[in-house]
Amino acid sequence: MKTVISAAGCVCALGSGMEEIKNNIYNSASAPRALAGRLESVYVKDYPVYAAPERALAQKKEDESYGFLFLRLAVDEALKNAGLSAADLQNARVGVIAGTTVDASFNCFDFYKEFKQNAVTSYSPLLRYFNTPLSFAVQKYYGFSGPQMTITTACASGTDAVGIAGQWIEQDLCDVVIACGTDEINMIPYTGFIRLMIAGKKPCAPFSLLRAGINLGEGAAALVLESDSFFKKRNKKPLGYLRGYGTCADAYHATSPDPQGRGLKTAFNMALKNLQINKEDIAFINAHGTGTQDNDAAEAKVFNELFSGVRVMASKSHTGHTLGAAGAVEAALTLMALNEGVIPPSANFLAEDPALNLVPVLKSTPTNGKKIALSNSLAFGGCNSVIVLEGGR
Amino acid sequence: MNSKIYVNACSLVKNPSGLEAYFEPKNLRRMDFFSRLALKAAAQCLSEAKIDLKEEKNIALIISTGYGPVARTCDFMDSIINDGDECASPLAFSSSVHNAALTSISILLNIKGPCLTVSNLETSFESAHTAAKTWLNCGFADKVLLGAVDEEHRVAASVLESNPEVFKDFTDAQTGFGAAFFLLSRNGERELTPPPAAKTPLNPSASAFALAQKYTDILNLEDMERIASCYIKTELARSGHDIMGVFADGKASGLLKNTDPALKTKILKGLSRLFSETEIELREEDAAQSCLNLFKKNKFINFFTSGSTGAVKNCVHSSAEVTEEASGLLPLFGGVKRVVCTVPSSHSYGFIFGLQVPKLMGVPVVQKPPLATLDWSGILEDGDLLVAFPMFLKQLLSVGIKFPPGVRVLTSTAPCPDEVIDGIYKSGAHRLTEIYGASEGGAIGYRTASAQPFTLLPYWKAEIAGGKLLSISRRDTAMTIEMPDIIEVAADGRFRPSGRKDNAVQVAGINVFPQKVERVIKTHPAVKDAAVRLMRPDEGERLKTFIVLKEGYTQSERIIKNLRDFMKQNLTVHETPRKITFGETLPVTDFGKKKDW
Repeated sequence: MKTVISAAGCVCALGSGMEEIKNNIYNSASAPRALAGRLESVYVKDYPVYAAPERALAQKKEDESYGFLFLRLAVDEALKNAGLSAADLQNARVGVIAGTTVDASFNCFDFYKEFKQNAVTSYSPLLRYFNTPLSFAVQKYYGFSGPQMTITTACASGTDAVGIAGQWIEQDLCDVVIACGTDEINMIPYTGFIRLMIAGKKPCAPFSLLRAGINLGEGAAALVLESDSFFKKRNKKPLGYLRGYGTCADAYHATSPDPQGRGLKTAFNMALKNLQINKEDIAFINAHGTGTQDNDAAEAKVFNELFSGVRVMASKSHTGHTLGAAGAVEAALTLMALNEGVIPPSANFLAEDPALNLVPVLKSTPTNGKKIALSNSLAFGGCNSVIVLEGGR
Repeated sequence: MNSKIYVNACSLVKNPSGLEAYFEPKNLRRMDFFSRLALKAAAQCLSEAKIDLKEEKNIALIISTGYGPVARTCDFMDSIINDGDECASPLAFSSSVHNAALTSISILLNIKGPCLTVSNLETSFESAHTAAKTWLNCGFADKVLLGAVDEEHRVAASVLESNPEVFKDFTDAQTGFGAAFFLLSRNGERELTPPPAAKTPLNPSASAFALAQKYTDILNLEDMERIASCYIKTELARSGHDIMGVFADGKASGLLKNTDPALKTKILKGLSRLFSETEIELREEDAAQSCLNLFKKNKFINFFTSGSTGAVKNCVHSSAEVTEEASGLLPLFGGVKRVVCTVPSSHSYGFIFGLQVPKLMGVPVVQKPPLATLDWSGILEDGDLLVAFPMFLKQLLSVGIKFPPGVRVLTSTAPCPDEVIDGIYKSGAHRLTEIYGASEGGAIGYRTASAQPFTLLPYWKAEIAGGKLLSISRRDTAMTIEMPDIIEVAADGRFRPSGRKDNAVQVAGINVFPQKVERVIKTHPAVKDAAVRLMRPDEGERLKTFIVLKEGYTQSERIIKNLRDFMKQNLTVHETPRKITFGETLPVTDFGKKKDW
């Protein structure tokens, strides 16, 4: 597999747009904060989140969700960076694959409260929920014509979106695919993760001793994948390439990963199948790295078994866990790091956990010319997805 | 991406009860309705495909759902509203995620392959189908278990009831729920047609349910063939269509491929109805006349049999062949004044003895349903020929029938046990004639006493080799048939059948295959090994099974109930063993050959 990724766009706690994100990630400039106002929760002060920048939030239209706001900002940027206009895509087969959790769920908490009290003031939230499946909404907004799909495999959704986008291009289903993911901070997952004791009160510290859980994040990323023939019409350099994709179920537990990492290992092997590369060719792995005890232990085990010595980047220490957007956000960050030739540091690390035998990069580290990186995601329910990316610049 | 994908198995579930037949109760205890629906449909689909539910499977699993487990989302929101953030239910949250069903299925059915959940309301299944095709085409997996599951959206349903105008702009305001699963691969006979989007987000998986309904009807070939043969007897016999072309390939699946749209609709409508034997008999007056009219017009009649392969087979008899047969049988029935027929005229046996032979004899025919509870002593008269079959005769004996003097009894369609023959004589029948025959050839031989061999009917000449009857040919017409059974011929030319060549046995007149039943039973998670055979006459007339349980399972009421539920769901009525015996090893002879128990 070698599918062109022509451009990316992103909004997350690190910033609005790839340039701002790039500047901030190397300086570890993001931090979780209490999100008063949008969350009416007793936990707001104790459980911080990685919220999107205010100037991004301020662009929300009245009839759209924050999730869709982030997504259109990301897609706008990606298309602009790709040098593609609406006219360019008018006669093309353009697919949209979007990963999400909140946007596909009936998380209309305010409406639901009114409904329970027989005091509904407006049915707009209900109708909006029924009228706009996310991927379809993107197609309609941009006027694309082609297949669409919204993936809700929890935290692996964004990675699956990128991987399947590559398959659609390879199988000539589309000329262009917008592979994206989005999620917003919402009362339901916020409360749910706290009640499951997966969320932490401190900034998330992936792979660190005394790591105490996730901080939810929000944002979106969009990658533009193109067929060779379509891309060649424009005189541009690709942002990178999708080189492989794998996914596999643990079949182990509803909320904990398989401690032996069986499903994750299989996903890595699937993604790397047919690629003539050794682990020495890999610049880094962008880990799922949520900062929970179980997740980080399972990942560290697999990394040590399959990729001993390969550097590990933990971008959730900058973005928080953006759930359905995570895979897409991390793909964008991975490509950025490959093209910069520098692996960003992982933030909030306290001390090495001897049980893991793994420390992520803690300062900006050169890739030494290596062009390949892996990005993996582990989802609730034991779905493991991996993509292999190659830098293009 | 133009390659085709095929449906290897399919299931549609609207009621998740009966999951205990597949899984331990402790694994189901906290499972919600949404996941139960999906799990049952997935288990049924894999069972239909004869895939071991417990063994690790490298199958891709794709779930499409319009809403996900929306009831659990509402439950979680309720727990926040009612109990506060700090007491909100973590279980409700963890089971409210969209891939909850995928999780349950992958864990409980041990599916460790690529996995995906797709949710875009009414286009979810259409998108998931694209994903399945993508993965099959790129070799991600050899098989994909594609499922669509949705429960009714309780808030939408409530709003529909109280304020239907809210959804006035929706094309269709009907809600729905269920789970439909398809096992897909790049090989098979049933191509999966790309599904359209559902009409409304209020029933987002509707198109999947409709597709499953269609494939469930078609794919369950054995049930379909049984229903088809009943339907054909009663409906097509009076349709006037040239049914030869319809059954050109001899298989019931061809029935649905090769027919014109109007006839196909008619056939499908008929297939959707289960005809009871009583219904068929009650229609017999009409059908008998239709058969005669068709026969007269076309100069041939087409009989359908469950056949040696289990596939519906058409057996055409020309009018010359029918006349030859009926004429050749006349000498057996001297003195008959009336025929009382309990067999449908569209069956070869009923057509010959209920229509043609009486016509040549010039005697009237009365059609009666084969119900032992009728007053047969009052119905039958001196000089009657009762055209019956072994199961019905046994039922007559069980109600203590006393035949009026001079009643002759005819039996065919299945071997008549010796004790039944003896019992009929003891009950006062003047004479019993058992006809040995086959739909392909009609009546072949006869006998009039138990334990006797059969005498070849005079219109046949036989090819014999090594004491076995290989084939027979008509003397006047061109019909030649190979014997469906192994036939041993004595020195005096009389013969005895000694077993089916195709290992089928007959249960209530229907061919069933014990080996197939064994295979199905062995797919139950608790079963290590199984044997199936027909009961001995003293035991009954159904199948029985001997089961060796896997380690960790013990014979108990619960296991027996699990097995019975499993068999009920995966076997036809005639295939389901009535008696279950447990043991540590299958009964075998000293030489290791399976033996009776």
